[in-house]
Amino acid sequence: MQFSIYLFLLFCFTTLAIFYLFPKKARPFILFTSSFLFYGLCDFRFLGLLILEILLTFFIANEISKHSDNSKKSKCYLVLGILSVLGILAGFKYFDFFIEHFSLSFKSVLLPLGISYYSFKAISYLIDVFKKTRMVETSFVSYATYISFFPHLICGPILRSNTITEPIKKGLSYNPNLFRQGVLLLTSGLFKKIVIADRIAAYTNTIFNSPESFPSFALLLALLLFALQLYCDFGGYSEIAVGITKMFGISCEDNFKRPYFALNIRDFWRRWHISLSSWLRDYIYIPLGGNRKGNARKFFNTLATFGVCGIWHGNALHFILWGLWHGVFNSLTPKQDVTKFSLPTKILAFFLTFSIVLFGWLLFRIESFDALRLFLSHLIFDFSLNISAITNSLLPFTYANTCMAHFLTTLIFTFILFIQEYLQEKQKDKEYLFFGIHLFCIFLFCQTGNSPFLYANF
Amino acid sequence: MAKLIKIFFLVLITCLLLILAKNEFARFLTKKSPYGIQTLISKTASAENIFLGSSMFRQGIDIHVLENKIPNSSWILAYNGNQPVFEYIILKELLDNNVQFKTLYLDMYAYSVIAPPKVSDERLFLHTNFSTKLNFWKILKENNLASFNDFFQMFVTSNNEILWTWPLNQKLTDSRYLRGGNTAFNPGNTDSIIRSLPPVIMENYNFRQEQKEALLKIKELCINNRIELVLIETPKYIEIALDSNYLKIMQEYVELAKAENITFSLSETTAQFMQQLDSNFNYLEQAVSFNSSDPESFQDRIHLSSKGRKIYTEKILKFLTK
Repeated sequence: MQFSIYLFLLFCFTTLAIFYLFPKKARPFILFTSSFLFYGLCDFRFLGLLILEILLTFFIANEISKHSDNSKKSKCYLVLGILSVLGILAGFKYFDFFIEHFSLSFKSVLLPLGISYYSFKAISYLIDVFKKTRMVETSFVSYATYISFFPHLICGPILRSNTITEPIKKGLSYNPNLFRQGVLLLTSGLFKKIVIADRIAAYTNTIFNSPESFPSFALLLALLLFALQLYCDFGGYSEIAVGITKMFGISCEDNFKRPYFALNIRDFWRRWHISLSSWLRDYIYIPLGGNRKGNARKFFNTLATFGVCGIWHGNALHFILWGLWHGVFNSLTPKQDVTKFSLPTKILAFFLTFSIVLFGWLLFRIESFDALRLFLSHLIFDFSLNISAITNSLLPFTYANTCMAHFLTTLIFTFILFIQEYLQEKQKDKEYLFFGIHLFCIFLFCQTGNSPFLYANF
Repeated sequence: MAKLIKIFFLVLITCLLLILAKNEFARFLTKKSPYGIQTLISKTASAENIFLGSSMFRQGIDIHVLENKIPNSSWILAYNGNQPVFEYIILKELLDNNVQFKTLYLDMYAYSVIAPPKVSDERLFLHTNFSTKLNFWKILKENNLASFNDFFQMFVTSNNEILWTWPLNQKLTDSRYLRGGNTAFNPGNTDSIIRSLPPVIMENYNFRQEQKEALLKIKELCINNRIELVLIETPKYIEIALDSNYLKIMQEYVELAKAENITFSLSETTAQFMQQLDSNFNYLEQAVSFNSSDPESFQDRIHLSSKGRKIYTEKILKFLTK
């Protein structure tokens, strides 16, 4: 089964129906079985690897818990556990990188679906058990469900173990308020994914695949739209995943909080891929010493953390560069209470932050330095804005005279999203109004092609 | 939850009503447009010669040249990727609505007859009535090409972007058309740019039976309504014009036209190729000379630029009057 949103939704609704048809006691088993079934349907070849990693970390966590805090044996087990998980992750994810850069004569390997997500979940569990911030999980079903929980398996968010294991322990019952929140998040996520992100995808792909064939204005437009596409694709999926989790009666934190409203880079990372940034903070930045060991060390720790963030995204240098780009700006940003900024400062801070993020997305999207150089030189030195440049920049939306209608529609949807997020930012969320608008747009403007999720590649 | 369910059904019913209204009545919005079927049906405009086909005609026939020669006599009905199976349905809708004309010029586009039926231009769903849309759907179903996805795109999501941005978008689009012809300036290219553009790759190069049958049905409809039928091959860039697969399809196309006694006009390269194969017929007499090696006359491998369109239309006009 190719991982597409429509098949995913079909699977979710079927599981949800079966889930509530059965009594409370059977529900963890339904989640457990459906998660493995889902992974098997998506990528049967690597189901064994997922099971192996679950068994291995479950056993090691049990061994860690048997020994007293910080004992040598417990540390050994922790190191063994982390190295095993990282070894598997690196073996599959970064093998190709070494083949390519060191001209080794090996065959390239396939990337198991969701490996970056479930590996980080397993590591966080091992460390939590070691630090005694949580008790070891005695129920295998509960632990396996946490690692393989299907709404979060392919594109995250990277949940902490308690989020799943605690509700399972307490019993999964129907919670009308959580269910309602789930439905609202699901429709909002679908609006972002199948109405906005998928609409933009064809345009950005066309421009980024051969930027030299288009006017420089198209490059600027494509870059802005890529920022929107990435947010709507990944943020949309996260909302769908969190929404479905809530519909199963499991409470779960948001993974995105209106990231483009950020007023500095620190603020941006408090809003973008929150589950990953908090994971990196808790399991890399703080253990490295955080900001407790002087400015030089803090700078190094930040860079190292964002370097890992870049590496996590893929086995290419441009991802590392993207991570370091954010790391540098994060280190340079002083601790500020952005809510106390005056309006002109807020506007200036918004544009500055967005520009930094936008350039970061260019590093993220363009795969080689030559391509980056070409893109930037065409964008900056050949920039012109006239009727012909605008017409030729809008044409790739459909390559027909419907391109203007599609461009205007994209603008309208972006405006709807902006208003919705602006109201949420001001704590004046009109959730029922936007539920209706989202549904209307989904019914009449959804893109029905089989477009994959961008973050499923990580 | 009750409120969410209420909103859900309210939105669903609203959408269903809008979809029904769109499929039957949205076409009336286009009856004053300078392009499309509805303008002819509503008699807002009339024409003696109709050029029915794909973007080859929109980009290949210069409406200003036609208008200068014989004002208000021609109308170009061009839909991207249009195929004979759909051209037959369009022709039928025109004739059923008593649209009268003398000559039908049909786009002799090789790649449209080897492709399975597919509606590439969703404006066809905007410009036609509900029963024509059902006929399109029937064609797709007969060829096992009608998935739920296609149904949804055809009847639900198609043209919604155009409709809800109508006041602004339509003014902009209309300004680029005159009697169905493209009036926007399309610059030519260089040889290297044209060759660097994505090539036209087809799954196979066999003339499809349903497209052949549709051509015969078009011919029959023309005979029954006393309409002269002429097939026109617009010039293609040299890379395509000399491509063996392209010429193979054109050979079959020409043989069909000859067998059915349909008048046709060929590009010079196709005519020369046919002449080599068969010396009993004067194909060169059916050819319109055009420099297919001049990249300035082309936007890409198959579409003419403004310059090429002007040159070609002047030549084809001479040929047709001859």
